[in-house]
Amino acid sequence: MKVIIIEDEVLNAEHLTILLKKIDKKIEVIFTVDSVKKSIKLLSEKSNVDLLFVDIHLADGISFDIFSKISVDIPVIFYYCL
Amino acid sequence: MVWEGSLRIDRWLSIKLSWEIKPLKRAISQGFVSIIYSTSVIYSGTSAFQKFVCPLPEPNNTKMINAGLILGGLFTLILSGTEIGVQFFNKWKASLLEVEKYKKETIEAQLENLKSQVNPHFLFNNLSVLSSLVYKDQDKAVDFINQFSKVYRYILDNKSKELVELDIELKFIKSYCYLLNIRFGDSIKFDFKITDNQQLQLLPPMALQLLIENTIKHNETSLDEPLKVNIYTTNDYLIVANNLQLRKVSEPSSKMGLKNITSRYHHFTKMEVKINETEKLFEVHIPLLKSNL
Repeated sequence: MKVIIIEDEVLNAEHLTILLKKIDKKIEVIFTVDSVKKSIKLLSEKSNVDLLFVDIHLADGISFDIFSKISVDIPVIFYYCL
Repeated sequence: MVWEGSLRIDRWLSIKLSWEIKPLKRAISQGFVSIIYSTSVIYSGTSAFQKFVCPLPEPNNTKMINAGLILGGLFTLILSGTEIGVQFFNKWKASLLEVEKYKKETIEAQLENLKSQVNPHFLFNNLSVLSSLVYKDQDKAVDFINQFSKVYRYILDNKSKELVELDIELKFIKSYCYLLNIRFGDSIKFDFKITDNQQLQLLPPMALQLLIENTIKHNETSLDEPLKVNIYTTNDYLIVANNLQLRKVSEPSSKMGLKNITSRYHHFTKMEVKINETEKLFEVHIPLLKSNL
């Protein structure tokens, strides 16, 4: 399973990666990005992603801005204060 | 005439010699001048009365001078007494008000500090960082706990003080920045340039912390565009400068922080807290006070 983590605090992203690996070794975090701008760019280029983990608060805004610009057809898990 | 003249003398002396600065000199000179003035007015008044209106029953120069002296002295005493009383009462009232106002502002600042620091958000953010660290790097996690406890210890020890030495505040700030650096990684950069001979100058506790917190509160911090915060000293000023990259969605702010610092400074110095904002830069200059204040 391919996962993208959208999170502005590197440490949180690393933590989440570790937790996911614990659940299932086959889960692969292919990217972590920290801003709305980069997320839009990445999500419009990548198509082979299965799941998104998205923090609400990002470096340059809130993550809802991403999904008002582009639409995705894969599951999204929002979280806050990991 | 005696009354009016004495009042004028009093006013004139208030300008030349104020009660607060040299009370003894003032009392002596006011007594001396007023008595001479009233005596001569009363004496010449009675002499004129005797000469032009009707002769007094027992015209006696010494008696008249004596009467003038006594009356003049009495006038001076009553006048200065009431005048001083009124003046002191007003000054006392004003200073009481000033003290009350200052107390209120200090308490507000303390409350702000407590609210922001013992604020669950600050605590949870740091605990969440800590739980991530425990997985990744235990040694760093221990460091983090130590710095975290230093931050809280400083807040508890100093929150009620009026002023602290710069080097003590800086030690705390270094711990505070350590926490931020672990949390934000390379998306925030601090640079300190403090002159050695300014380490013992004073500033209100947590003032620097508030300025640093504000930079993060209002600006974006990302790896691509890191927030750069420079903390440095010039002549009698501590400056916190950052590159301006305002958040589009800013966190709710009471805007009280900066205002509060500014008004706390008003009680210690005439030097102003200066804010300098350009398109790309935001700077706050806060005065560093000399320790003999």
